Amino acid sequence: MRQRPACAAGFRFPEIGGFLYACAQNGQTVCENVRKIHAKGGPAVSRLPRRRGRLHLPARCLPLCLGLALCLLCVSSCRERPFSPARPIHVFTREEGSGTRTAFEELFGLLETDPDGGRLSLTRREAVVARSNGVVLSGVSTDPAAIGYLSLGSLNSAVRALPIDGELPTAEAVRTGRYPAARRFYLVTRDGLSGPAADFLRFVFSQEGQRVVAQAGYVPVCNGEPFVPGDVQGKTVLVGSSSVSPVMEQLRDAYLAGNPGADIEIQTSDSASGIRSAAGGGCDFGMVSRELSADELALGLTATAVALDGIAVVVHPENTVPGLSSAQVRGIYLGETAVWRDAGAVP
Amino acid sequence: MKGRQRVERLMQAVFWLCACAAVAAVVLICVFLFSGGAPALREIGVWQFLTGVRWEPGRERFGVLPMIAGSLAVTLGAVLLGVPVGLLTAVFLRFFCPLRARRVLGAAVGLLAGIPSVVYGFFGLTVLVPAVRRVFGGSGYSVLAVSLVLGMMILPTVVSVSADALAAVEAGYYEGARALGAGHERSVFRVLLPAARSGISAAVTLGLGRAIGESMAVVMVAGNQAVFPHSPLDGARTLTSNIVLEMGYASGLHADALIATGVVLFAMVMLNNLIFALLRRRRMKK
Repeated sequence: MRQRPACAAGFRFPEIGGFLYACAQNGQTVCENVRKIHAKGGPAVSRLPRRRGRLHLPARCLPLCLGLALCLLCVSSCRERPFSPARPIHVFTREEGSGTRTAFEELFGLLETDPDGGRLSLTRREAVVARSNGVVLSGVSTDPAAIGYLSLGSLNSAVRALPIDGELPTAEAVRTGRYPAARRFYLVTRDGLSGPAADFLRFVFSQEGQRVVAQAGYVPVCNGEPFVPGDVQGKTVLVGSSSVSPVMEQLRDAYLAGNPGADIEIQTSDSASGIRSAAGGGCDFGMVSRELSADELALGLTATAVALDGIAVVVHPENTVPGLSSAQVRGIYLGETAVWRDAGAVP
Repeated sequence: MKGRQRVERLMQAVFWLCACAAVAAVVLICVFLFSGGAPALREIGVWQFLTGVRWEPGRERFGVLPMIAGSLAVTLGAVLLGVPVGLLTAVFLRFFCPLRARRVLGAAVGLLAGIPSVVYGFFGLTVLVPAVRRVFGGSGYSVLAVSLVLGMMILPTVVSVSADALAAVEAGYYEGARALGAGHERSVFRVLLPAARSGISAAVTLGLGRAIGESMAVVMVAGNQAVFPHSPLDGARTLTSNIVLEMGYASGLHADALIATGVVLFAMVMLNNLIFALLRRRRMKK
């Protein structure tokens, strides 16, 4: 089995017929003979090939490099297809533990609740599941046919926020309640806050803290008293929603400027993890970007609203859809509306 | 002398302990997986779990068939893209490459193995996904994009293992082929490559194992829809990304079902390793 390929390859070359014949005459196998030749210092190929003198490296690499360059050129010359109303809608959603997703689905009627407490998300199953606001942002900002939703505070100019029911998602519209998709940010805690954690909470509700909330693009929940920094030493840990963590990071920076002795650690995952961690004592505050369910409240947690946030429905800047109604958003996420034309895009 | 013996004995104990630690880790993981997954499998039903096509944690409906299909699809794609490239790279490095270039290329392939998987994922997200969308249409988050990323990730494994396999072929094969008048190319492709067959299949199996177990890079480019992929341009959710996506917030039966997903994955990897071991044994016998 092993010898066969070698011999089979050889048989196709008539000029070595004589050599084979000689081998047969002596009653030896071909390979034995070849070894003997080598042992006498015959044609040296035992060291595997260094093929000199045929083509130098640059010459050999040239076609290869040219080919590669051509391939790259082909791919990069494939421009992004421009937006057209005939294109199918690429829907982006979040993972099911996300508070933004839960809040979004509750607000737009995409959540079906069974009598026995089971919940079914009605979002179309072909929707791309992104793991954070950032991934939704990068997905929607590069794909002209995409639609997604994210926290108002994560919004930037790479995407276009659509007016919902004729109202653009601005902090003002969220505050007055005109924008239909608004939700609260909560910090959830168990009983018995540690000293540093209580001081941080006091800062969040102070005048300075709520000013930071407003500057970050969210809506403050109260006009607090001026904050008087106390001499606080110790660590506070926050775990949870990736929608809440950006504003918490800004609050932390502002807080630490006045309290250099304190230490605040923010771990970003999602709302459900924040609740679990807070209930299990893994952190001081769970960051939650949706309402707590009855089961979760039964864990003995206290939820304090720290800011109001809108959920912006975003598309690529080239998209020509003037705006969507709540029913249209629902249709898109249910999968009933599959093409941009049906969602009201103008050519 | 006595002191030396004592040191000798002590060191022996230390080495034993180290060896046992490795075994204990494997055993512990097995115990954790199967004891964690068994209740969920019992409650859901093994058959229901393996053949169910709907994954709806909110309703306690757990079927992993779409994820199994997704895992198999991306792994197959990775092998189809990665193995030919890896194999030809190995052949080139071993038989056609000038020595100086071989050093550079070998180091580059080695470097590929050292890149963290998150970086592959990020590369996939920012470069490959838009490229797939531009060239083929669709949303870009697709089996194809994952296959490209995984194909790249298994390259170092495939290259190094198949290069070793080629190096292990007796020199006499090449010499014999040349002596019989076959050219360099013909000797390499018709004689050495078939002779290294079992080693090359080991390379494929190892690459496959690497591809099926990857999670971080996959979760970033796969789209993660829990539905069957009907074409290479559809998104898919693999067993690994299912765990990564939901483990953070799952509780109760949902968490157990995710561990059971791990059991399925474990079984698939075990099967793969078994095949690898059988192949190696066949090669040893020869």
